[in-house]
Amino acid sequence: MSLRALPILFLNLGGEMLYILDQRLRAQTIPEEKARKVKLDIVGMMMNRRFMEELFKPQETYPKRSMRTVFDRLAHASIMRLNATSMDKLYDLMTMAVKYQLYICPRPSDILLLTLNHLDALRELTNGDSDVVQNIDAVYGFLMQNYATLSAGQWQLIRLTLLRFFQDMHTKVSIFLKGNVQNENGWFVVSKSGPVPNGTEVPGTVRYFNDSGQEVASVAFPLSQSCSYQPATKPGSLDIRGDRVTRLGCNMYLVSPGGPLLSPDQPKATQQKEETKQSNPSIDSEASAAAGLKLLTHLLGIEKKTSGSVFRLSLVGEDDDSDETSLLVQPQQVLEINASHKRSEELTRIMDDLSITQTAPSVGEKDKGDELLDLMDSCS
Amino acid sequence: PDENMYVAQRPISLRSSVSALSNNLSAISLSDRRSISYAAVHKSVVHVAHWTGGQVTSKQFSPEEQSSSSIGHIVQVSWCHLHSGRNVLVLASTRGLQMYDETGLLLLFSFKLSSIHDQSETSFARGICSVGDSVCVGTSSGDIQVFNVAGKGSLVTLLNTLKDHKHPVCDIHSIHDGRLVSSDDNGKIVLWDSASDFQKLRAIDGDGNPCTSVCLWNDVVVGGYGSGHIRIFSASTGKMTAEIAAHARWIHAIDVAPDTGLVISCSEDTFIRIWRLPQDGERDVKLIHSETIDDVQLVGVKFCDKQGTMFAVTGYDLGEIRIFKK
Repeated sequence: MSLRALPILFLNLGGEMLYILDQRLRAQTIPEEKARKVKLDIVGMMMNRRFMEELFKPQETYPKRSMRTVFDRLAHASIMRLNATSMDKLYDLMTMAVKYQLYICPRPSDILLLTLNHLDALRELTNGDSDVVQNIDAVYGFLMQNYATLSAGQWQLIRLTLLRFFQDMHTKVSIFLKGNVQNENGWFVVSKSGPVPNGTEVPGTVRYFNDSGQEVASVAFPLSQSCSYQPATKPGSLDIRGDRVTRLGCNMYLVSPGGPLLSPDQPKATQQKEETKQSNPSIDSEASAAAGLKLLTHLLGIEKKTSGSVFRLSLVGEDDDSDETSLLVQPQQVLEINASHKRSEELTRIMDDLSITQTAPSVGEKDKGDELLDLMDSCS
Repeated sequence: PDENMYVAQRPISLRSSVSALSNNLSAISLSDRRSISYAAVHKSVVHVAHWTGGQVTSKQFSPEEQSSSSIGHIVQVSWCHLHSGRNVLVLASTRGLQMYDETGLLLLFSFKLSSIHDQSETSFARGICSVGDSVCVGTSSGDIQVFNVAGKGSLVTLLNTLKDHKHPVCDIHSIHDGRLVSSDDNGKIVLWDSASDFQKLRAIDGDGNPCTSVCLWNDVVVGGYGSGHIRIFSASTGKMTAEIAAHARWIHAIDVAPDTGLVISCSEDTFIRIWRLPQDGERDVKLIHSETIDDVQLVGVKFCDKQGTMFAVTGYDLGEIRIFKK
């Protein structure tokens, strides 16, 4: 429906992906240098200027499989590898987190604030790399240009378009269950207490007016006992740096299970500043393909220098109960995916091939991956 | 025992969940007065359920299959009862509108929205109601297209285009005397008179807050807003007489029971509330019932009868229609 929903979807999913990867990199005690490089590479690719210019063009939101393709590519933008099970879990966590944020977002225009929270966090994550920070600032500019003056109706259209994307997803997420924001049936909790959105009043009053428009009476009516709403908080800031007020979109993995998301009084946790350099991949100036998606994944599939040894990240915790990011889902068969990408032009094939359910983990990284690449190459 | 107590009935199971769209429930008594038919949108299919006393039949149909070209995204579905006695099922989408016979099986008519200049804005149809033998459908440009539907067969002609709204239309509602009320994303409400060639009777300005759902009852215009307010206006003067801080979140639908002046509202705050409009000489609006469906953001509500003794409600991600009866 809305032609403006895609950048919002992408930025928020990307933000959540970085939060989760950051948490897993720490949990698996991946060496600092490697962890830093991975995060920087991924954020750098996400914020690629040309990529963003394409993303922000008015267009329909991509179907689920296409989004999955994009994030598979992104996750493999660096020296990190994820097997299929881990990638599935990563994607489930990302999508449920963004669904949650959009679902309980008090008013549709607050989506901009939660997107800025993600952007703020990405900037902190890569602080020190001026190229990436410059690109992030450019994205902030795109957001302000395209979204800062949207009406409530236009924002709700974006929100309803994205809720359609997330419809019927009820995967249970440990951190949400523990934080009592998700029920055992997978539904998110809609609170009957707390502040109402800006522009909304605490329910319970009827005001009467005379012909001159003056208020002549104000009569209260009782609300159910389960309700305990409060007046709205101050509006969040849309400045490049500012207090967004809402905790939605902040990194819930940085603190205890309570999380900044779930305890509104906790200060926003900050990442350590990182000093890393990254060389931008050379951008092919091939004319953009008709389908926006083709170009996007093309840009993501650009040959990258992968200096340093490749390592594997897992999202399957050894002890599922204590693992913050474990999901209550059955593990699937493992498929090794070789992510040493070449440029790809036939996207439908890639999308279809993502649902490969080949058995038996391969010995070397290359074996299974080659089939995928061959398929891609044969279509170019 | 509270005489205003509405008790939950057996819900109607749907084949899949309901989508997050405003006014996403339509209810009508087709042919036999005892049966009630419901329609709601799930992504690109339409759920249709028929309730007759104890029995329920529930099915879904996919408009894409009927159409030669893509119908885009469905925005709303609504039964329309026409003066000739005929009922049609109307679908509003991002491409335009489609009109089916009452079974939903036969496509009668398709109307494609003209392409707009501004490519960054989606165009869509939204807001459906019938008046006399006409079906009125709002559009994202603000225009309301009025179609005349023949008593039989598939002859549907564009009768009129009502121009006033400058923002996307949210909802349209009509009453028996031929008056029509429409509302838009900017909160503006317009009254029209179909009996005098759809002359504009009155306009009530908006303040940027979408009036997502609107209805008319005697001399009263009632609007439900994205801010959670319900506002009551005099239809003859256009002045606001009351403002209710009714819900803590976005209101997606309201409905009125014509025989009793009951208004029902549903919201993303999970609540359904029923209000009694002031009768002659009275001033006060009374809250007579409040109901919650935990954790479900409600997107469609309709009274099932003219007195408002029964109502049906739907919510995003919910795979059923919940029914309540006094």
